[in-house]
Amino acid sequence: MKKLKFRYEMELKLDRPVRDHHFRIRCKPMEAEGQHCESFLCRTWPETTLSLVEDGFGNHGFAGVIRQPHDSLTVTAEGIVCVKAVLDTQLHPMYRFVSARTVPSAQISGFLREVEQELGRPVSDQEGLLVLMDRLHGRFLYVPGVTSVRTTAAEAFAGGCGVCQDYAHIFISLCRLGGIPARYVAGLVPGEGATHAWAEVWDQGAWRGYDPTHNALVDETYIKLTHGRDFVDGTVDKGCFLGYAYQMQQIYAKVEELE
Amino acid sequence: MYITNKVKALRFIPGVFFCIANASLHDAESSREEVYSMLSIYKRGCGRSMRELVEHMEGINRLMARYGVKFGIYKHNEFHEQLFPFDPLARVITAAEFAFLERGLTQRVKALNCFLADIYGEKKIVKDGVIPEDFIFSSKGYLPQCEGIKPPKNIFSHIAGIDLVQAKDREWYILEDNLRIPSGASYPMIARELTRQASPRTFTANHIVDNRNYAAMLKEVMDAVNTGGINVVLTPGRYNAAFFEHSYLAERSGAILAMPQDLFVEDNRLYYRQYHGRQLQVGTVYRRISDEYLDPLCFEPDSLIGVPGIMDVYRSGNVALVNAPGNGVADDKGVYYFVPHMVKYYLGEEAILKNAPTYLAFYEKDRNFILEHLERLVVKDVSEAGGYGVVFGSELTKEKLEDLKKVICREPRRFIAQEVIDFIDLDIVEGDTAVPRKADLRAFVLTGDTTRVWASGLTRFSRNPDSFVVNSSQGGGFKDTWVLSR
Repeated sequence: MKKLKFRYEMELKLDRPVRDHHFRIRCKPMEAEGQHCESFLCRTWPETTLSLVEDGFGNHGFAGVIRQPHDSLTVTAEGIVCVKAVLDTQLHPMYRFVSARTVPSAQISGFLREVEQELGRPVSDQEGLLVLMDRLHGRFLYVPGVTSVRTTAAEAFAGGCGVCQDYAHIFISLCRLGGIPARYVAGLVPGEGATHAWAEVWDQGAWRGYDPTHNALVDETYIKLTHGRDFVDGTVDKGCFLGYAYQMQQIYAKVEELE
Repeated sequence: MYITNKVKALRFIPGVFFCIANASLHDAESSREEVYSMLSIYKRGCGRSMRELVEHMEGINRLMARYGVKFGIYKHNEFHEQLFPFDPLARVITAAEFAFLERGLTQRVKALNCFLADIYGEKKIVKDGVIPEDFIFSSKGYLPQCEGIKPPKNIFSHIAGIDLVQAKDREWYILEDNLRIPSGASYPMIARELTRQASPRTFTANHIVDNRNYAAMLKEVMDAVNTGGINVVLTPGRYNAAFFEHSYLAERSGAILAMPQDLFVEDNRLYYRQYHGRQLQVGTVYRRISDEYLDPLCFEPDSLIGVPGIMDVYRSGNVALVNAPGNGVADDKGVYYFVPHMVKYYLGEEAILKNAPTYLAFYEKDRNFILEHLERLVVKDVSEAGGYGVVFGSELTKEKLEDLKKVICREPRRFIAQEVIDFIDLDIVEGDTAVPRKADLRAFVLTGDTTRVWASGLTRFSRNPDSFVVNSSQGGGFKDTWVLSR
């Protein structure tokens, strides 16, 4: 078991005031099998009351609204979470099927065939998945700034580079194409930086985390915030407001191991 | 295969009862069965009044245009409003026939409701292998965002519009279920109102069930699921295809017609903001906005016509949404195939109303059948609605048939094929003659504390003599539907 201290900050800057700003923040570690949040504190600026909301994927989050004109929104959250290597064994059939961001392209299915040829069998177990992840990691480059939050797995794969979100999307697309249920996870990893994304794959009756960005299996230092079919379902923060403004979002996340 | 019923169009002869003209229309194959509904009404002297309605046709249509009984269509990205032409020759359904339809429709909608509660809950029907998961969880209509939601009183399908056709052998067949936002009830409502004014005699001399209770039925449904507060009809606005209906139903049912910006969420409750700033809590939203635009924080984030946070309020049980979001999974054209199985599974009964014979390209056996008999089948794309994505094999050239076969083999989950039902023609007035045209019936089944079928319905007809597609978005017209009380 690991005890982790985390901090999450999000700042949204707007170039002119907006109003009736509704937002959802889902930066509280998920209460799930093997993960329990010991302490948690979340604040926003401008201040507003937050109410706890739930969605259809089992994610919890805070809903808030700022009605008066404002030109920035800051969210800070911190807490301590315990992570154990206990796996979730609930499978929902929706994770078998393609979702909007993970529709496989001919290129993606070609890549899967290549890996299967190399293996000499379909990707069906952990060994195969590790090979698949390794080949994807070798093929796809980590380059920030070339893809956006709207990039699909097919677009990212065609471009050949992207960020953790794209790695996760492509890996999920490959798994589902191979008949293996997979889902998208947004969360935090040790160190300082932004939020991270990886995939959970249904493997021998349980969900196991695969991090294709780092070409590694997910361990007890990964803090899971949300999950869903792809990025859209698992968005950590989203919102909408009245007003025409350019926005800039900055995210800072930090995780340290305690004890 | 369908053979066009070639009947000579007959002239309306002044002074001659319309019934005579009409009865003779059918004399070619006039089994007693075939003309009974027509005759029963004309014998009671209705012919004369029917003629009165024909005489008033122009005036009625003019009034409808003035009231804004229109249908909007987006073509080439432009909004066109067109009149929804009214034909005065009503469809007549006998009391016995309606009683049969009522039983069948009530049963069907009850089963569909059980199905929706099951799919967004325990999913027993999938676990028991009655319906393959592919048809549910890869359906566009399935919304995982709605997983685990228990709507007030566990009702999902408050207002169902079930499309039926009557075959030449008098057998009724279900064409499709519409459980999302079925529109159309307002058209027979206003038609009845105007025809009653044009010819009061018709309605005093005949035993026609009054259909002006639809608004009351709608109010009962909204009240039954209301979580405390007012009832509103939520419209996306003036440029929606069915705006007339939204305003008319709101006015008639005593609900407030709200635009998206009139509603807002606070403290997990939904409120309506009045013109002068007062806030009223909302208990039921009869929303005429599609699921994907309902809440930008839950569905389509770019939606400008949604109410942010409304889904959270709904999930918490603090507001009723009519109909429940996510219902599209039950009216998917692929899931349609399984409705009789649902009736058996949930209610332990045999389905009273039949589906049109349907083949699922998903199953290999059915697919082979489709490929072999494509030229006599009608193929439907499960992801399309409103009469789009419907192809008749008989209308395709050899090459096009081959192309279609390839597409079906490539994406079998996307297509269903059905036998073309040779459905009866109803007469419509064209100029000073009556001509037979294909028509279907949309029956409205409302579920509040009980499930009831509205004793009327929208009869839509195709104005094109060779077309089977009667959707209003394809330029058809409509008739009133008379249900006889005895």
